[in-house]
Amino acid sequence: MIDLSVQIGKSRFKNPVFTASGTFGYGLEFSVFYDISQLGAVTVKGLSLEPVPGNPGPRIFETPSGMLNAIGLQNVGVREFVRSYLPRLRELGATVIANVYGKTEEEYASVAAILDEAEGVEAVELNISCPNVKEGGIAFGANPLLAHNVVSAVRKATEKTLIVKLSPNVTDITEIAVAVEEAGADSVSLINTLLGMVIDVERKRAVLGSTTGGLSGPAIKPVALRMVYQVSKKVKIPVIGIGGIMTYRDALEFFLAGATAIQVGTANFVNPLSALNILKDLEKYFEDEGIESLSQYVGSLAEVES
Amino acid sequence: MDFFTGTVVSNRVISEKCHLMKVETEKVLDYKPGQFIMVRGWKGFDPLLPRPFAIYNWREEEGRPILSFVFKVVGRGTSILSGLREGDRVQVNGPLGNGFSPPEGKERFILAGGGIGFSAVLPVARSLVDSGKDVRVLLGARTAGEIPRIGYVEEADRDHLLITTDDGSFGEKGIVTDFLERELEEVGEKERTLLFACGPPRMLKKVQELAERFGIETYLSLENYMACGFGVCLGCVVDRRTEEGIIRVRVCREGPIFRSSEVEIYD
Repeated sequence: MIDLSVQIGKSRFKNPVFTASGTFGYGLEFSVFYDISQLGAVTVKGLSLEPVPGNPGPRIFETPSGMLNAIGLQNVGVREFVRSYLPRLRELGATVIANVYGKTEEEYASVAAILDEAEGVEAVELNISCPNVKEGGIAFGANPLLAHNVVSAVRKATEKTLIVKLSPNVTDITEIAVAVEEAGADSVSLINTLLGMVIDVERKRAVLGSTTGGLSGPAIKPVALRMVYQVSKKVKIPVIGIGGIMTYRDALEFFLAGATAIQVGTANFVNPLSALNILKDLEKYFEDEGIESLSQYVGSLAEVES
Repeated sequence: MDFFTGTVVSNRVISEKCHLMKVETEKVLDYKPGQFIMVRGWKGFDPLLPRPFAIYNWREEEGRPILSFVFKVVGRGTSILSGLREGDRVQVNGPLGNGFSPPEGKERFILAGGGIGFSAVLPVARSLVDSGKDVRVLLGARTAGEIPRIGYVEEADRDHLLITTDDGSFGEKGIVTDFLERELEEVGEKERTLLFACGPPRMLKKVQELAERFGIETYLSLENYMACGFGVCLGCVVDRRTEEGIIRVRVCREGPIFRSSEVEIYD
């Protein structure tokens, strides 16, 4: 069988199929359906220094081929995660990427420092791209200098593999990618959700409690793919592709565009087995096609002369 | 909880907008009345998410494990479901949610359903009747066309089941909560009585008010938009009052059935 393992920073992941933060809970919910240790990694819900109650409802609404969410980073807080959830994830043998969110540079660094000491966290993913919170989040992700500074601060706080999750809600995502690479990120993951809105015509008001929300699902895949393609050309660090990956063919598109690994997000809601199915289908595809190494396949997009 | 594919056995129109779908499953899974399932019955990713429906029944029927649920055609997903025929396949996740277990010491149960709320009320009513409890059911609809033509409703006598319509085209004329109020006025042993309701937010607000006024222990079955149904998307939260203040809990996991006194209903 083909070796699907990928190197990102210090970490060797057994395969390139990860789950996306915010769509996989703390991982445990999915262990009812399958053995989550089979995945390259599971990225848990964004963690902050203190617990966050999240936004008032409604928080979710379906849109054509996609969905809007405005959860507002509801989470149990990093200490509770380390105390109550991480040990169970370790028992399950899951490779864990901890997604981190803060309101300030210092807060990001503090959360990362706590995770740095935690056993069973393989990598840290910085969320500098959440569109659904007022402070922090996107403020860092939309400005190359602020992005650089927060990544530098976190880089000092952890030895672990550091992934930075980028927002598509910017003029030029490659600028941000380059800035965080220079600041010491081991990898960039993209894209987070696209900012969107739905209006209830009868009531003349926004459907979501927080007015706007993040769009995800198949609707955003072409945008995500384009951005992964552009960023892959600009940075040397591995790129993790995210955005509307529902099937192994979607994943193949991201690999061709230059992604070293992919994260399955919204698909987890549609079918809890999605990530596992994508992994198995990829293995079969590579075997059937006689492709011996994933690294040869990654970025092997034929370029059209222009 | 299990995630599986089932085969449609029948898909019957039971009122103007509601269907009762029966799906053959591999086996009958244990479930509690008030629990729900997430269902998808189409290929591709548009519509995207599965839809939540209360479990109406899950039992052996003529030697086959049959899961049945009621749905109301409101959008594209349910519209597709309404067109499914015998032999079509549907993806099911469930049973999900907490379901309803009657607390100790309750002997008399008053259940009220508004609109599609009957689909959560009737399974609870049936299980209480089966366990020998004294059960009174009130179902309200806007008009006669919304009254479900299903066995439970058609076979029940008037002492057990009261039907109301806003326009008086079927049963008693009036709002179901007005009849509920009269019912509660006559309750003798309040501590042995329990009220259970499912319906639109405005109705549940009224039920909350009645519950408080009459001092009767009350449970509400809530609905909400949800993406996953099993606790990960955090999309379906409602505010629950606790001693430590308000916390946000998931309708799909901590619910869908909550103590009336502790949840905030938003109209």
